[in-house]
Amino acid sequence: MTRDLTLAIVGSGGDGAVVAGDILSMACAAEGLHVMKTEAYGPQIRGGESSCTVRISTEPILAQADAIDALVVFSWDDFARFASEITPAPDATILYEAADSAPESFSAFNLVPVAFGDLAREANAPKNKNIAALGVMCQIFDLPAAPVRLAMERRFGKKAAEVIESNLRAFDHGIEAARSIKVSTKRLVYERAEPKLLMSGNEAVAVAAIDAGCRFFAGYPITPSSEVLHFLGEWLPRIGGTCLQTEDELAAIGAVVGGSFAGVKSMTATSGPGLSLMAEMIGLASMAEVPAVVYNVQRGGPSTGIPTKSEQSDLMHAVYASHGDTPRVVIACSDVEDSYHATVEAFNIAEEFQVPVIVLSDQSIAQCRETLDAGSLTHPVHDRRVATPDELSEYRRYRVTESGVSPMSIPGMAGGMYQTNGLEHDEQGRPSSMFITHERMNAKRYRKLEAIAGRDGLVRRYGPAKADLGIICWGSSAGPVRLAVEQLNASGASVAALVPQMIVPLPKAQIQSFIDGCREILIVELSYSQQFHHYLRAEVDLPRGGATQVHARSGGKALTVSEIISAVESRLEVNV
Amino acid sequence: MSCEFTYTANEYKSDLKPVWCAGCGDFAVLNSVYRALADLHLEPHETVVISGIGCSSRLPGYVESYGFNSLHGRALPIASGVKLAAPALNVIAVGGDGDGIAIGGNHFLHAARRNVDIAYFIMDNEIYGLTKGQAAPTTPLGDKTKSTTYGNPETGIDPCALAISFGASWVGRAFSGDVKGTTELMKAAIQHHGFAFLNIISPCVTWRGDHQAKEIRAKTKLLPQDHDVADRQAALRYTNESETVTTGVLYTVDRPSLLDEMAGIAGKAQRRGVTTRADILKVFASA
Repeated sequence: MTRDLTLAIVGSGGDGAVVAGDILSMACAAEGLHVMKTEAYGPQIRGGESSCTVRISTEPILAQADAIDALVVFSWDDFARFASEITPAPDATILYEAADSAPESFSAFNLVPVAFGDLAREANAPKNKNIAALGVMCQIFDLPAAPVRLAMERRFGKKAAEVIESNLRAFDHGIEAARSIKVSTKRLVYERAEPKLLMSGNEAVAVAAIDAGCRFFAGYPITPSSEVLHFLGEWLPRIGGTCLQTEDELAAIGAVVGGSFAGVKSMTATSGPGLSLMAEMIGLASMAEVPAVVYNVQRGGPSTGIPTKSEQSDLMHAVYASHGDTPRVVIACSDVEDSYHATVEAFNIAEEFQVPVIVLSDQSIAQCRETLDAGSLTHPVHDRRVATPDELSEYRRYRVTESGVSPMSIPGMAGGMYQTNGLEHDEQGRPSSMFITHERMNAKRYRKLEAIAGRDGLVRRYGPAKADLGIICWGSSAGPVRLAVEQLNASGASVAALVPQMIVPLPKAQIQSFIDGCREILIVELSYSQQFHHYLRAEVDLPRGGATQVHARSGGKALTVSEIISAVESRLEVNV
Repeated sequence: MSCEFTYTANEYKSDLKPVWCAGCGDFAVLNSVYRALADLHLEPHETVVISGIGCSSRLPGYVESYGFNSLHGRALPIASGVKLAAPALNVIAVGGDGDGIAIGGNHFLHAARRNVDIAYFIMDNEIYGLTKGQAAPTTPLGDKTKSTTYGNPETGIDPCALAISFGASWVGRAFSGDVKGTTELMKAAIQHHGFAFLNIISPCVTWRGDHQAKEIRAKTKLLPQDHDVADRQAALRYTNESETVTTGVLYTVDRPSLLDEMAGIAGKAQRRGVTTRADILKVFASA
């Protein structure tokens, strides 16, 4: 019996591992359970290896489990391609296609051969072995069968009746066949609760954009962020907005700068290679002080890298992209719900301060589906401060103010005419190459960051106020780090964690006071070259003489709780 | 969008003094812009002039309207964003041949293909002026420039030929020295429904020499009266010319603009029913 179960299905692209995982996730969400569903693929467009991992729990889920309790393997060759990425727990039950005999090295596990292909054929549903497997899993692990049937009807509702019937036959036959399988394994127990929403990080960002008042989106397709383009392409036209698929990322952010200059809240979405192309236009938005939101989903890099897998290695690019002294804001998301709040906040800051704001997520959040309560998706919305009629008399678009923010007119407003410029310019927007103007305008533009750094709620802190060891991490590392902190403190260690949501401007005072309250610091990140560590070194005083350690590695494999715990324990042992 | 009160051409002049060299063809282009805006009674505050980078891209600063002197090659994406976000505005994109055909060439293709509702004026001097005299995509084969000591190894291209091939729904050519003719072509381009491209031959006295303007003037011919503007093949016969510079409306076709298509999409989307936030969240409901 367990109240927390993690299942994974591995096969080839056509095997339907992800569809089965989707249906299971939907059914569990309908039962009011907490769900986290992640996917991983090879680089192939169709076919190739594909996997889906679903964690189900009666408690909120902070991260995907380190190890899998229940595994379905359609092909051992495909499974081998996820070596070290999908790890079965020592007591895991592995249901594998009987026609593909298990490698010797797995003999220690609870191995159960099941003829998934035959089951589907017997049910006269030869294409639905994934659903037959779902039936087997429901029976063996006590998963909710009735909600799975409903979820299938929703999922296939728009298809021909035969599609639903065929899937239901496969499912029922799977359940029936599994009755004769005798295996001792974990079984899920839970109490039903209110149904939950099931949403990915990309979807949360798209909904947040709509809620924030974004009515113009321009984007170029790129994995793993294209779902934002898909969603807004469907929904913006329904609510009076416009979605443009551009010829490249240069045009995408160009159109966003144009749309925003014309007075409409605007956003683009991309991933690393696209962000590289957008660098120059981020500089223009900063110089011309045009609000713009750029949502960037990190994937393995550099260059084309690993488009389907996660990493935290666009940090330095987000922080410094563009030549020249370029004030911008960078906000990180640490989970699906946080993606919603970070995005609305990005619009608020962009509009209030007339700056480009980069929202940094990564594939492990953007394409991960998590359960949410609809009530958690609300966030205050602020609008642009447009010039008042008073300010429009003798209007100066770039008037130097104490806050650095100047009243912004919108084309169409009489008396508000100005020329904006990527050239350095004076208060009227007229080009100027004078040192005095440049210095004064740099100071004005950078002043805006001071007020932003002082905003509340942009740093999260976990664990005791004073700790032997303090972990600093960002973005998607927050989930596993929080779990590690909970477990370490429960076992008597004294460990705290700090996760800044605001990356630029970095809330230095809060980070410094956290550092000063810890004897040692451990920085955790998925960047081979330790980008976050180097950024922190530049911005705050980290303890020296070995008191600052870094746990950093390449992405492509999720950060596990156990690797963080061993990194912490090896430090604490040194000091005992 | 046109105003109740009329403005004189002079009233579209900003208080900024052009940085161009004496004798630059762009002065005449600017005068034509003032006259075209005045003749069409366009409200200055409802007009946006957007440029990239280059000598001619300084033009928005000299016009009393909203203006955006943006990045090298990126006038068209920005102009497209402005027009889609605020369709009521008059949007004019301007720039040089290097800006529009070299670094911005990809956007030129797609703005034309999409038929986005803007007018685009290239001031074509067959050279990079602001960076002081390097070969452009429009520079003829064999020409010596600062970057082609032994002669240009590449064949120059006519932006009008590109625009016609890319699917622009209005394509014209003007000579800056003919202010009256240029003004009339600008007016037609601004009034055109869809993407209108006007290539304005605008000599560079500094890097192409005094003779360039004289030679062009001598070669300039009006399109024959019987030219069929709806005939794409006929229009292409007046492109990549060597002995003549033919001015006038080369090609025009009436086809739905990007805004028309976007309105159609909005119609289809909204026929699915009134959309509330609850409808959007229903996508993610599990039960």
